[in-house]
Amino acid sequence: MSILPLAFGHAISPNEFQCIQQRMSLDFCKWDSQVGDISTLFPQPLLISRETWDHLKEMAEGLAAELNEAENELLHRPELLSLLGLPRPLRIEFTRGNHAALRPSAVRVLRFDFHYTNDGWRISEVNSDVPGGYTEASRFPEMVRPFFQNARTTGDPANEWAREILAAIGERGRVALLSAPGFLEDQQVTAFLSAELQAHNIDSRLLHDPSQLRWKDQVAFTLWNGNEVRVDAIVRFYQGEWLARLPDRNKWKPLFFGSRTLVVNPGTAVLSESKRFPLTWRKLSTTLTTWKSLMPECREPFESHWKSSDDWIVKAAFSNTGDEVHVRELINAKTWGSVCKSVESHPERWVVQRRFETVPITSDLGSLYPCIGVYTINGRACGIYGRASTGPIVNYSAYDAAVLIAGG
Amino acid sequence: MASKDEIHKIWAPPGGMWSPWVKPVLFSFTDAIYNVPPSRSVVFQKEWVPKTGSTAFVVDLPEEAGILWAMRTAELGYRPVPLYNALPFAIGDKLGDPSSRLTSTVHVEPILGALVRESTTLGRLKLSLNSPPAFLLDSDRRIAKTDILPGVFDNRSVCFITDFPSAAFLIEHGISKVVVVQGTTKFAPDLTPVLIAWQQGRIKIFRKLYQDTEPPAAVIVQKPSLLSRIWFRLSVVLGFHRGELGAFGEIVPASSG
Repeated sequence: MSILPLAFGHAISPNEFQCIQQRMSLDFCKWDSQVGDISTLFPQPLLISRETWDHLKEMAEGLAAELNEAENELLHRPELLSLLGLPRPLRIEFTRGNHAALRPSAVRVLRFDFHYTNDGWRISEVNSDVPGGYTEASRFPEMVRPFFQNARTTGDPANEWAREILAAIGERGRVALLSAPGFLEDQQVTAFLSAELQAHNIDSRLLHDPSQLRWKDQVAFTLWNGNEVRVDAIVRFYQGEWLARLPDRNKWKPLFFGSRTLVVNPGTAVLSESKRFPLTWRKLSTTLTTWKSLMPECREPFESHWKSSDDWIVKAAFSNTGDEVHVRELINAKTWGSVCKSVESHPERWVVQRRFETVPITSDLGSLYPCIGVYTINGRACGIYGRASTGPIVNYSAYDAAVLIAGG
Repeated sequence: MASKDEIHKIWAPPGGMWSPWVKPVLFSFTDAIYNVPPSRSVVFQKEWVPKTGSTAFVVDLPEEAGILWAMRTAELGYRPVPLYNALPFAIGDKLGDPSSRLTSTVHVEPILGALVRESTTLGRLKLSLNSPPAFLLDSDRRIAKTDILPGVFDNRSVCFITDFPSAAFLIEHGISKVVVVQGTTKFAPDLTPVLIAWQQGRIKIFRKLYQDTEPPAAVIVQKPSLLSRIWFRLSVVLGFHRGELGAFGEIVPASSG
């Protein structure tokens, strides 16, 4: 391996890789492996050393512990909530002090997106609310591993997640997995997790509207085989900001406040999901040493000359898969003009972040920019979702790359 | 019955030009089909179908009609490319008794049954790996046929630009015309951005009404006005289009009414 902490391994032969693609799509719910003209499953894995994995784990676990503490403080500091750019219905509910009715969650998943730069590792964000990528992080590396002698996977986040759910609700529990209607890329996640739960003797149902849950005395019920039964846990794979757009009659609020049924991830996740979360740091008493060392400087849009400088990237407070992350020099003038207009109209919904340069890694397709998404479940690092992009921004069309510990 | 791998390979043959775009979701459920339904008839006039060359189809017809129509064009040398983006039923119901499956908002099971049934015929046709494509969509995909109540499986879906090859790819592979075969004069709101992107990439768009005897008509696909997009969004939120998923760059969360 080179002096860089990661490198691409050799490509798996087309015939053998096609078998992996087939298994991923037909057995493990990877249903979006073609995005436009791009086949997203990448035949070359990213190889890291044991030391690099230990380092990433340590950093991710530090970030998770600090995030947990910061979220708890934010709940009791309603004056800071306006900094987060929360959708109005959520801000109102959190500010009202409904947090008193929040229940601690028994299962919390985070995914930190690491990028290697000339100054060492940096993180661009945390996927705090509804982190996905479980099948790509769990089954894909497992199938790629046999092609690399002595290589090891970094873990199995899907299995860890299912085990934590099992520990929280017990065997033969019932889990409702909720995702937005119409989005197959979300439904493939809930379908895959549902199969993982079934493998642990946990029954599950896929729901696509919170109104399909009935709440009695703050406990969720739904129809199961024709009978109304109590739900033991709700997997909320439905972005907080999308739920907050639904009318009250869809009964989305118990997913955030007051549920006695376990909700995974909990509603509080939306606080740190905001890309404006770093703007609260200077007012928090929580020490965020790891975050401050890894996250580039973030500012209010009016605090920097982002419009005339390529040193800043512009991010919507709530965005998914990099769809609202903009860099002036990487987009055309018309799109940049409309981004500027949006930021100027609603600066409270945006944040600017100092740009960092990810070190590109050579692959058979040329230079690619890797992103190492480290999962923590209940504070413990347990696997990596690897992606690699042809440009510096990792978005929905990035390649999925298995990450393996080389020669371990 | 053939395995899911065998059925998938018939519809998405290794090395096939359009195989990467075949949506795998339904194929992962083919092992849960125990009784293959008999074939239905479909309206098809072959007189106007161009010889294979520079034309591709988008077949936007309800339930299994798209597959049946595409199988007729397959006899003329076109490769059916299923782009169905929906789960037929909840994954937890896969191994259970089919009669006890949850009611779903969109009837996707007939499509699944047709994929399984027609795979034998398609396999026998021995189409070339480079045959021009007929992309298949379910025109009922966005509309809930039943209220989204507890116990109902909501399997509505939408198509995105990224579900299709780009205009550049189509042109590079000899496709310069796309004929959209559908039952109505208006294009579906989620399909419209795809057609606009192709049109901007110099692909000519034609519309063919499924049951009409007229040949395909050339059309200029217009971007919906801001006003009509706002109205569509409002009307869905207010429940005038209950159970309908929006499109054109945004998904409107369903109203449970």
